[in-house]
Amino acid sequence: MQFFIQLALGGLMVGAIYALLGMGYSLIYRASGLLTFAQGDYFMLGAFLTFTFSVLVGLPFFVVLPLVGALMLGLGFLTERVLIGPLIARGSGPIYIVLATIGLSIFLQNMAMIIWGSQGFHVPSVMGDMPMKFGDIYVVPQNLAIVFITLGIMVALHIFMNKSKVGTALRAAAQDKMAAATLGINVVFAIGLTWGISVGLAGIAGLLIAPIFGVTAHMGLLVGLKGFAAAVVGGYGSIYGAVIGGFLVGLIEAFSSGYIDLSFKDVVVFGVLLLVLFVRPEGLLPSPALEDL
Amino acid sequence: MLSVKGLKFRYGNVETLHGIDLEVNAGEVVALIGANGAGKTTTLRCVSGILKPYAGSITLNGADLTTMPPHQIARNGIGHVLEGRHLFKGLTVRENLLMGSYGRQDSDGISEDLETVYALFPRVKERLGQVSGTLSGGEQQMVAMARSLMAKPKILLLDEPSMGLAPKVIDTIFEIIHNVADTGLPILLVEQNAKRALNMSKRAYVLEIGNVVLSGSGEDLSKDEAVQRSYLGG
Repeated sequence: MQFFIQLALGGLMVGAIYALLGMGYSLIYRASGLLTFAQGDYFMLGAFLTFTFSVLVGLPFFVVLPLVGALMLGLGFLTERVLIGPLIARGSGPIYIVLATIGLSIFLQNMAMIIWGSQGFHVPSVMGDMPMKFGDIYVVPQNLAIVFITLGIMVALHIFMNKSKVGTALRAAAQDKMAAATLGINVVFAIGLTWGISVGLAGIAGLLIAPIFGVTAHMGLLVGLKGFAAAVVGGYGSIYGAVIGGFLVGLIEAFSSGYIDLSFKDVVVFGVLLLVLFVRPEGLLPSPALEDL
Repeated sequence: MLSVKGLKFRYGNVETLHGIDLEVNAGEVVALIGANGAGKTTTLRCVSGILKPYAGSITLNGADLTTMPPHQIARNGIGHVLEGRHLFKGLTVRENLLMGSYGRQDSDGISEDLETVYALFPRVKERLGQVSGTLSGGEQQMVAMARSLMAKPKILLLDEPSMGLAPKVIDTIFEIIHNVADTGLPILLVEQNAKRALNMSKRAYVLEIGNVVLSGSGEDLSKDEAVQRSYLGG
């Protein structure tokens, strides 16, 4: 039982990271009808910015968190405005735009290597990385903090998207751009902001994980794919599905590495992804966005 | 009030509007009739900025809207109820109405207009909490009109409000359009059902393959032989 709880805690921690990335995939899919391959690299960039501001500049965590969030939000907005939006406006097919995001992914990885170098960096923990003992269970405060900060972000996003006028407009613009425009909603801005939120979530995920995984230019590769798996398992396009999918993928990963073997965890995770594609391709929470298309 | 001059539009290389001139004055209901593909919907979409004409001008009370992005045109007073309703299907009726008032800051005016809209569309008020995609076609048309009214437009463009509805429901919809017109709001009405459109319009334009071929009072056009033959089934 103790081992089980220990694994579950670890699974929830990485699951939170996958959930943050998965939500971004689903938001972008809803807003632009696209799959992006750059989420993992924005995750990496968030980690590098965290390293830069915390270690190199020496700013405190409570400044770094909003700073990284805001910078990544701006970067996501810019990505849509400079790259994705113009391609859509030119009438490029989805395949070419997805290809462009692959190019963007490689570009970001190489830029990171040019700016920060190809070696890995360590970011010291803010929340504490010394395990604390509760009964038989060891809890790393930092891991717990990741889960709670992620849950906090999710609740905030839920309230913003459902209770605020601007959030409702983002959902409206994602559902019907023409109708939104005729009602005075700036659709161009709304789609850009949705990308900004998605990339911001990925950046925050990178910030949270940096003290645990360290920071390298290629750290986003596998995590990006697992965030994608989380979105698919949850129901591609569904924000809440991505949250459930993220925690599920994290738990599956933790249990398979604990009960089977560490080397099996990726095999099992992507095995489950394939299984979902065969058995329930619409995912756990099918998104209404999929029916619209 | 609304003035469209020399409006030309092309899809790719094909010109579909060849220079449309039309006007809607204060308090008027003006109908735009014509066969499928005549350019009625394209004309309305150019006015609300969803499509951009390559020549001509669109002004509302003297303000030039021709090159404005659609959301600014909406905020300048053009309300456009799109063909096919275009509700935000995943949003509730209440959220759809909220989106109608998106560009407004006057919360007192908004709650006042909500009451006006509820009075015009009692059915909409009963459905506030419902996800709009689950409404019947007639109810969706009502929500679409109510939503546009929440923007407090200076003129309302109505594109095929009766499309796909049962005759009884069409009666209700036209009754509501009458009531909206009675509030003094000018309406530019595009409608397949030319008879009903001409009956309630002060003036009308007849569109044929991208040109205005006839215009006049609703009554005169109803009696016009060519119009009767082509559009009124007589």
